[in-house]
Parts: sequence; structure tokens; C-alpha cells
Amino acid sequence: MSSSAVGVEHLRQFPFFAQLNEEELTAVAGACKLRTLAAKEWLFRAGDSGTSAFLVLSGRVAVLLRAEGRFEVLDTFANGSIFGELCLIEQSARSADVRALDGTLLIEIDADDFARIQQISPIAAVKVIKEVTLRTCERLRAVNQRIETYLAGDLRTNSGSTIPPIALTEFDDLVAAHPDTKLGFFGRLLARLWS
Amino acid sequence: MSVNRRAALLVREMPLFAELTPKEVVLLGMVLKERDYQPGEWLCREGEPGNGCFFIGEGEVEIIKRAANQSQAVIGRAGKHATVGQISLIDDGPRSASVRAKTRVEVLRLDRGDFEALQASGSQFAYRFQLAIARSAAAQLREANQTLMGLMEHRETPSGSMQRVTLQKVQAVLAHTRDLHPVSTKAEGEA
Repeated sequence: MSSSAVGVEHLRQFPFFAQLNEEELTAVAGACKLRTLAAKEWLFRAGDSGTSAFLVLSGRVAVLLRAEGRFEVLDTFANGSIFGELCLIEQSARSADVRALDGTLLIEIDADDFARIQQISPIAAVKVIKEVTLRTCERLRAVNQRIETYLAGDLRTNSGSTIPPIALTEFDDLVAAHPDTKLGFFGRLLARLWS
Repeated sequence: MSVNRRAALLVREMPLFAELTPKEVVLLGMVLKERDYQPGEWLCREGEPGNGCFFIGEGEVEIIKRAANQSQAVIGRAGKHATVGQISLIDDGPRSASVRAKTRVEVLRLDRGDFEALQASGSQFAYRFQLAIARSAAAQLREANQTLMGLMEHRETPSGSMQRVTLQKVQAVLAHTRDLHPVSTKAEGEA
């Protein structure tokens, strides 16, 4: 793991920060660190205390759920993605494992460092929290819609199926796999539940 | 007592507003709109555009969602000092549930326009309020996930095929994940 300065130009490529001006981005950049992962390195495990949000600058990470000694891939994140952002609003345990698929460069925002942004640029802090809320609301809408579908008695068989759990030894194959892994609707939904 | 004084008093009582300065309390008291609801009156309806949140004073409200066959299920309740419908302050979607007075209830309403003016102030309160909204959205997401998981467990057999679920089973699942009573048990079922 290496730490070095994160600049405004790093943050600008993320839609997550689209509403922030130069001054606000500078304040946020001050709370960010760079983090490097080697291919197959673990970022965190389910149950770990979650205190940072992550943005992917380059490379890919996989979100894994462990079940009965095997791993199921819920999602993969590549350049432009953010994950773990709920840590900025509340403390909780990580609900899944995250592991680098390739050599990966991340921006890490520690929750305590983020809280200090509020003193430097209160409006930047509010805008970031608002963005987290909007994304949470999107997920909430998707889940509510699915609940309504069930309540309305929609009984069409779900044609998408979750990909079968993979053994840890098959992780090497996963590294070579296409990043847009085909997940069934429930798999994608579970991915949205995570983080 | 004038409307503003009563609103300011209620504001001072709410934990959410505990750290407001006296000036902020007065300002908030001025933009909040006060209204009492009678038992059975709707504060908002599922599917309608939402553009304000409700702070509950004395009394209790029910959160209600439509289920199959025109019936409805009570999926939650809120009482004194609760905040309801705050997601509409920042999210453009329709109301995800209806809210109805269970008892006579005192309500203060904050409109979206006033909320946005508040956010532009950059004050400590604006940050804390935004954080409170974010947390309640996350809590709602967790509860919705649990509800959905419960429904999924009831619907999928090991082979992955779907089974019909009666409305009563759905309500049983909802009751398990949240304390609730179905408003109507008019259920048409198939095993």
C-alpha cells in the first residue's frame, strides 16, 4: 500500500463529484489517499469494520460473498466507480469481501478525514452526502419496485440466474473473465444491497 | 399562541434540531408549516409527487403500502419527534408509501424549496440535517432489502422455480420483518 497526494484532476473523472466546484474538489482531495493493490490482493473482508469509501482509478476489484466455503461474485468495479460510500454517513461492518482482480489503483476516503472536510468546506461536505443519499434512494427505488412486483403477484419465472458459486481455486479464471459478468437480476440486486 | 411560536416550541423539542442556535430555531420555525391531522386523514399518498417532509409532534402516523388486489399493508409507524418523507427533499421520485394519521397528530412540514435554501447556507445544521436524511435512506434501504429477501425466500424453491404466494404469506413475511398489521385481509389465494 502506498500513500500519496490526490489531486483535483483525479476526482474530476468521477460522476460522483460532478456537482462540486474547484474549491470544493480541493477540500475533498485533501481528505483522500491513493491506495495500490496487487492482482488478487484483498482490500477488505466481510465483517471488517468499514471506515472508508473507495473510488477506482484503474484496474478492477471484485465483490465476493462467501457461502459454504465457496465464493460468489456479486459485482466488479472498474475505473469511474465508487463503492463503500455508505461508510461516509454511518459506521458498519463490511457485508462482503473485496479483492483486486488486476493491479488496481484506488482513491480512499477515510470517514474521519471526510468529517473534517465539513469545517473546511461545509458545502462540499453537504454535496457529497447528498450524492450518497441520491444513490441510496436509487437503490431503494429498485428494491421497492421489486417488492411491489411480488406484492402484485408477478409470477413470471426469472430467466436470469445467478452465476454458480466458484471455488477459491478458480479465482484465477475469474481474473481472466470479462468484467461484465452476467449476473441474474437477484445477483445484481444483491450487489446493490452490498455497500 | 401564534403558529410560529408553536412551531418553534416543537422544533426545540426535537432531537434532530437539538444543536440549533436560537436564531436558527426561529428561522426554522418561520419556514415550517404547521397543520393538525384528524385520525384517518392522509398526509401524503403513494405514487404522488413528493416535495416536503413531515416532523411529527403529538400523535402517531402509519406508513402504508399498496399490496395486491387493492388491499394495503401497514409497513411501519412513526410517533412523536419522528421525521417522515424526508427523502422527497432530495429525490425526485414519487412517494414510495402513503402516510396516514392514526390518532390526531400535530405535524410540521418542511417544503423542498425551503430545504434547498437551508442547504445553501453551509451551516452546521444543514450538514447534520443532510446526514440525518442520508442515514434514514440507508435504514430504509436495509429494511426494504430484508423485506425483499423474505419474499424471495418464500418464492424460490431449491430448483429455482417460482411458486405462487398468497397475500397472507406476503403479509406474514412483512410482519416478520417489521411490526405491522394488514389494513385489509381481503386476499385471494392460491397455495
